[in-house]
Amino acid sequence: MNNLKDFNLGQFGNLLSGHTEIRLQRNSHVNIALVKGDVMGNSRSTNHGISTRVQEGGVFGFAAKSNPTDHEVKAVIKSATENAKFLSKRSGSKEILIPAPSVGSFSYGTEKARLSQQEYLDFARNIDNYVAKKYTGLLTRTISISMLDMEKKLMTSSGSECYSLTPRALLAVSLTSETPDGPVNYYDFIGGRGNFEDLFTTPDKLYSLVDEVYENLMKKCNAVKAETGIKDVVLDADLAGILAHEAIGHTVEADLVLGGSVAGDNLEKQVASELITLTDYAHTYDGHPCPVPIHIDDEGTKAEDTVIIKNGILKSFMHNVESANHFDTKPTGNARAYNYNDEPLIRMRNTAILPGNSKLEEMISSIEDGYYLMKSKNGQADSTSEFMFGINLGFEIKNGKIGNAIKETTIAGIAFDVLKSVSMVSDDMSWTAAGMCGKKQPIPVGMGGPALKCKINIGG
Amino acid sequence: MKGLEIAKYGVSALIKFGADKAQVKYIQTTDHEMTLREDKIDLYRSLTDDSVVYKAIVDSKEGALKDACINPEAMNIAVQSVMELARAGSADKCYDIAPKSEPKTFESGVMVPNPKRMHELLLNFGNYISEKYPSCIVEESYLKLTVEEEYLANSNGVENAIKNGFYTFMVMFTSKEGEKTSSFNYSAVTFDELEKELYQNANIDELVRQSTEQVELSILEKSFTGDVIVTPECLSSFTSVLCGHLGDHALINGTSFFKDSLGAVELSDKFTLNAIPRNEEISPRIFTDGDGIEIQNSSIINKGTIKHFLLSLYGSNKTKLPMGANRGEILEVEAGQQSLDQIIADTKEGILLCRFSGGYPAPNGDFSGVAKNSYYIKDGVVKYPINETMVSGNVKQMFKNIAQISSDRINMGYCIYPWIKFNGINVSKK
Repeated sequence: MNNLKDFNLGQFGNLLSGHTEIRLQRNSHVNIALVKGDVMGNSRSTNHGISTRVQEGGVFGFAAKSNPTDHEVKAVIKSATENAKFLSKRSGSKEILIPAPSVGSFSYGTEKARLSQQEYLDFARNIDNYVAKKYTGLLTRTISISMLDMEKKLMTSSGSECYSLTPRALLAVSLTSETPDGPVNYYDFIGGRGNFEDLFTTPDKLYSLVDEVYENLMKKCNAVKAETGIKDVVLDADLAGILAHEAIGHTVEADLVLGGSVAGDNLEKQVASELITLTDYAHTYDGHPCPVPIHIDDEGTKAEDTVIIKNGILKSFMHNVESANHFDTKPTGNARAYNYNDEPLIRMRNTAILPGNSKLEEMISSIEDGYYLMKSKNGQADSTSEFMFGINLGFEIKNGKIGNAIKETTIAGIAFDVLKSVSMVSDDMSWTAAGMCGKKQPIPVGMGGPALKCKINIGG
Repeated sequence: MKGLEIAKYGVSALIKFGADKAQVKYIQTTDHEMTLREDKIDLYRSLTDDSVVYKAIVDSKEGALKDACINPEAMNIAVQSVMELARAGSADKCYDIAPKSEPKTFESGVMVPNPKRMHELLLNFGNYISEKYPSCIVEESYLKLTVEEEYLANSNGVENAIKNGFYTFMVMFTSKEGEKTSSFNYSAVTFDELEKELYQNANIDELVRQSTEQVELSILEKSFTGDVIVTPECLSSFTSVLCGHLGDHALINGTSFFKDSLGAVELSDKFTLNAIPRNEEISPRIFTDGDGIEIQNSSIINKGTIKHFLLSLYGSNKTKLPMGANRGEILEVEAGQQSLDQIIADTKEGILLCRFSGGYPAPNGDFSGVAKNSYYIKDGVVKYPINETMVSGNVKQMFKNIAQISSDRINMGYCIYPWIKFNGINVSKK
């Protein structure tokens, strides 16, 4: 399995029955972490193997094996077929119709020579030394580098074939300072789609990120508590992206719709201000590759953009072939699996609110008493469309001006209510590519947006 | 090669290629899983995964690598990569491997899947929910048998062979009446045998019943600072924070709020948190830590006193604090004196917090988040399910201010928790 791209899946074609997908996949991770200068993470890991999913009578059998021999691949196909038969005998129904096949090869890997672990470590050490020398009063500091290359080769009995290599590399700076109220932390990431060698050149180019993290940490050390309750806020672009993902994106995944999500009752209804258009992009935005470009999904479906909200009207859900059959619509390539032995689930790809016409400065100056919320931590969605996310960096707005930083807090709201309250949308667009979405499996996702002015519930 | 041979081969290869100390863990995991969505079992998965985890220490520098290959040629290539990683590291005399001990063999649980019985139980579950709670939609539930064989060897002569088999049942559900929808809720349990109907495990039946009444939600009349009764299913949102502050990351960093507290009374004397990895009533049983050191049951926090940290070998070496009997695997909170009904009856104003959805707490333990699937309590009576309600406070303060702990507990297989009433939590309406 060393050369996944050239591995001949076709040799197993005669073993396939019904509708079958065979997926060969390798996830390669590099993890480096320096904590107060000590190397506490220095590892690589690879998950690789093959899986087969067989459909019979509208139900699926699935089997997987790590690093299989040819003999074991045949056993995997046989096991998946037997599992499908086991279920269809007991609960089978109508076959799920499969869309037209798609074929392609898509690599976002670097063409440069790959660096060694020593070189990655030295890069991190350089940044760590910069922090240690310049900012001597910190309680602790962590510099980490994480990389994930997802490489897949798919073949389906309906004729789809796809090779993809989608790498991601992130560098994080996390600084902590002691205060009378206990330790205060701030962190930020840089990086996204691509290999480390394409994203980063020399460590000194990241010193300004470090300086910014430190400045924001110092502001947080003197932070005030946010008032609880509904407030006027400007959500910066990063937060608009996570809003698109958590607040709306999850509620319109068709499996959650079938599971009772409130979005199911709101198709073709006004769910947001008419300033809001929200799209799940497949691979390209404005002529550039998205953070997580998907051209053909893990069911062999050609990936196309899905317009979810257009001028405030809910237009579409996101589907796999099974839910698309149920809703009598066509899937647009939202089925993805994280590991080789995971089944494809309905996942977002690159979910973004589109830019508007306002300037960020105008939006801030229009608020008498509210908050400017800039960076988030984790987030979660709900069937009711109530979302929450943690705020890692935010500021008071008083009389149209930025004031004190606020302590970490959580914001929440009913997505449709919050989006209906949007009164200004900035004219810029920013993508974050550090996100991992959790469902039954994690998966890399892209999130994007402009800044939004809206009303939101702050937790204190 | 198979089993312990693979681990021992890896260790001797690492030493041959220059490691001063070496550890190799070979894990084979097989899963058999069926998934129920709404009322149909539509996915049956059979998985086999091999992982070999190498750790090498050379000149006090450590590197680690995980791979799936178990043949000697591929393992030799992996070994050379591990050595390259290690040599690139920084010297730290705190890196180490477990000291020599007698070879250990452990076996626990069920090893052979029973697909017909799995299918029968899952189908029964779907039918039970749709008949008894017709407004409840099972978004997804799965029943899975995991059999894990772990073989660890190191260059000090440690040789462990552990085999564990256990079932996991997970269910995620929402209730819906017309356009009214509850929050989703979920529960997961682990067990060794397929004896009971799935809805009879832990508190699943009651959680689903609650979901059906949570389609009618009300906003609190006012914000208040009062009592929060945290349910067993929700408690790990907060005990995990306590354990984080007893573990490697926070203690090495110096951010732990327990860093100077070994032996000190830091929390309510009503609170006792034990680790019970070897108990019969939990599943799976855990016998060793990540370094292959055998772990035992212990009291981590006894009547509010911090009895031991949850440090690994490296963490202990780094902080010069003692390792405890375990790393905090499989927890229980000791039962209190009053029944849940009595605790509710004693509550003047508060909420029953059934699920917490919040940002990761700040390093000092401050937290805030949404109270999901939760209820308002007034004058000793559960009044109504609540909507758009947030709770905030400080985790350490919270566990200092325990009012009551229930005598009733729920065993979820991987933890055994009561209901706990905390004083002085901020509850905010929209």
